[in-house]
Amino acid sequence: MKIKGQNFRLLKGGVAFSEATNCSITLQGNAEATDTKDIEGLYSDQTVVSTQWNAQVDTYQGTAAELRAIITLFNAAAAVGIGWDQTAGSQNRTAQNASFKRSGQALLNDFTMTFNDRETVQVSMQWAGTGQLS
Amino acid sequence: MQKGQYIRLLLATTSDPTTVIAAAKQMSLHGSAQLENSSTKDSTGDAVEQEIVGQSYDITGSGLILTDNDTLLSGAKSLNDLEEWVKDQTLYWSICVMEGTNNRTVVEEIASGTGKLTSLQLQAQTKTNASYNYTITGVGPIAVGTPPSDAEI
Repeated sequence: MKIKGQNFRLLKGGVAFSEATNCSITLQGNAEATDTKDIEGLYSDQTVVSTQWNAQVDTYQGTAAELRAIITLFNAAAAVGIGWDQTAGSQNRTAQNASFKRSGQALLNDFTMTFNDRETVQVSMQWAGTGQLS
Repeated sequence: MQKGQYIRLLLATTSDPTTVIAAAKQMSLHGSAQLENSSTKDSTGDAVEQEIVGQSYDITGSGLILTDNDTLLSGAKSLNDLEEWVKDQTLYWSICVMEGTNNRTVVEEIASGTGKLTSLQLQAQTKTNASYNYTITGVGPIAVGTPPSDAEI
């Protein structure tokens, strides 16, 4: 089976975000600062001294209940469970395939709700992982 | 939400928050949280716990200026008056479910707050309508409205 965008999904509290058009999860290793004035123009060895992760999702249209829940969550400034998994079939609604699955706690640290003249609401959310991604 | 109902972000003055005075071509509500700096020299390389230490939000909008009498917001009688709004005008904003003719009847208020107009840009380009962009910086927290008892969950 070819792996396509619809084969992966981002979940909050075990439930996939509805009408998501784009989602991503980023793992980042922070390398120590190795620049020195003694370098001779060669690549220097790098050591990862800390890691972090974050997630991002765009949805096509939010309902009243969804918009209310997002703002409530933002106001609470509390971490919630965020997951990322792969579906077994070609659609976002099939049972998950456990071959690639990650989860952790994350803070909603950025959101944008865009209201346009087509009467739709597009919502973009960014989540900052707190603690380990397992 | 039922068919024929739409969600809009609306602006009004704090003195008369029930009268909707502007619904721009495009508007955005953007919330941002500041995370504490949790890096420590004791880190073992694992991702560390994070906490939110501050929050802020703003509203941005844009539209076209079609005539010289267009009003961006209530009280702005002409383009000459717009700059007055940047000084210290408090505005009321709300996200509402609307219905009815031209979707002008408020059915449900999802969230609301107040803010100050902190940026106003008038833009003129050849062969297009003049346009404006503005930013309203939120004051205080975002209030979340109580859903109606028969709200769709």
